[in-house]
Amino acid sequence: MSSGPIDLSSTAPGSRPAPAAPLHERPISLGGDQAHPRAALLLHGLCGTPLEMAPLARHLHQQGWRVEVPYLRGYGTDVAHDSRRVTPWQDWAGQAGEALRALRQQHGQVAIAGLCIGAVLALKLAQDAQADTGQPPLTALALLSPTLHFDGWNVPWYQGLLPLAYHTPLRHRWAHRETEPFGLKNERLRRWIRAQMHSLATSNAGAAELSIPAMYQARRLIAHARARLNRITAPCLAIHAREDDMATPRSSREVLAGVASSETSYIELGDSYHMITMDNEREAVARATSDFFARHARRTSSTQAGRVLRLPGHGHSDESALF
Amino acid sequence: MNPRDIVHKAFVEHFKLDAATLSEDTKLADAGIDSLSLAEFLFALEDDYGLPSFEAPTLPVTFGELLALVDQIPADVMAQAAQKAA
Repeated sequence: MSSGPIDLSSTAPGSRPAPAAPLHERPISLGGDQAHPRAALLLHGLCGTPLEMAPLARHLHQQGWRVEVPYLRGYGTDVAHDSRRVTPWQDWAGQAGEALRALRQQHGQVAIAGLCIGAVLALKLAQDAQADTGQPPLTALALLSPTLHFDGWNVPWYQGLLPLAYHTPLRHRWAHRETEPFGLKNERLRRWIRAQMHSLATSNAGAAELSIPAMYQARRLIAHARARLNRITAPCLAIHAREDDMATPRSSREVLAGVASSETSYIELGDSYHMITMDNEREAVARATSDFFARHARRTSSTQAGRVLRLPGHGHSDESALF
Repeated sequence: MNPRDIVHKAFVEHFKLDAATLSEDTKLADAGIDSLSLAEFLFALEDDYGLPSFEAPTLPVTFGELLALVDQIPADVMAQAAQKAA
């Protein structure tokens, strides 16, 4: 797995290279230097890191996908202890959109998976992609613990009031401190995450604190995406833990009921909490996502071949040119 | 087999690495090992060799720092692990 490029912001003699990004902020890039007809864009959660998606990324790569997991600034852990770094949700979508555009320019088949608010970003990208008729359709969407409502059993009762605090002087002075189980049912992994949170103030399971500006922007993104679900026609898979501590499966059901997709599929997990890409059933999540993507990648390529065969004047099709 | 050798062998097998390219100075990130992968490896050591949970105030950055965690383990526990590894 790539450790990510080191950013040298200046090569002038005597200049000092910019420090490398902390390991947990580095993007994950697998298979970019090889010919892969299929690519997957994975979007981490709010105040999270690409490492949340690492098990899924590894599995998809083993199944023949190029995988890109960008680190989204103003959305990821860089906002954990400085709420002033939070950027508007449109900036989050812009960064994710750029990553998607880069993949679509190089690959005929591109799928997107997102975790938590990353799944909501995936919905936003799919809505925008639907409007972009100059590109092939998205292959598929995998929405992992999509969060339209913060109604899980570990969410404090006052959560719904927090956006109101955004418009007060409290907004940069208060943050919601995450408590156990940190979205993880696996106790051993939770112990590991807890130790990381103490020593590093961040972890694979995301930042230890969620600021009011971050939650405010997340809610605005959710509202935007919810209002436009019916613009999505890409095949959608939603995977949600029955005992999700942050957002109940209500969110997944609402998403799948609202999209106009040709196919929707829902998997409910019985032995995980919110961070399903890392928890007890992470391998099952990776397999289900990979299988869903592969099934629709085959359909997409068949459709593309069919389109070529139907073009007038094409008495002979060269399928190898399609990939 | 001494404790460090046990962990060295388990590490190479778990991550399917070329032992010849691995030194104590090797950075785990350069070997493609992120913190979650590292956690999974340490859990595998607990399960396969009966080792106790590893406590580390900071995550090891190099392979050498990872091996140094082994030094925390009581001698009798490592003796039992060595028997399992044999």
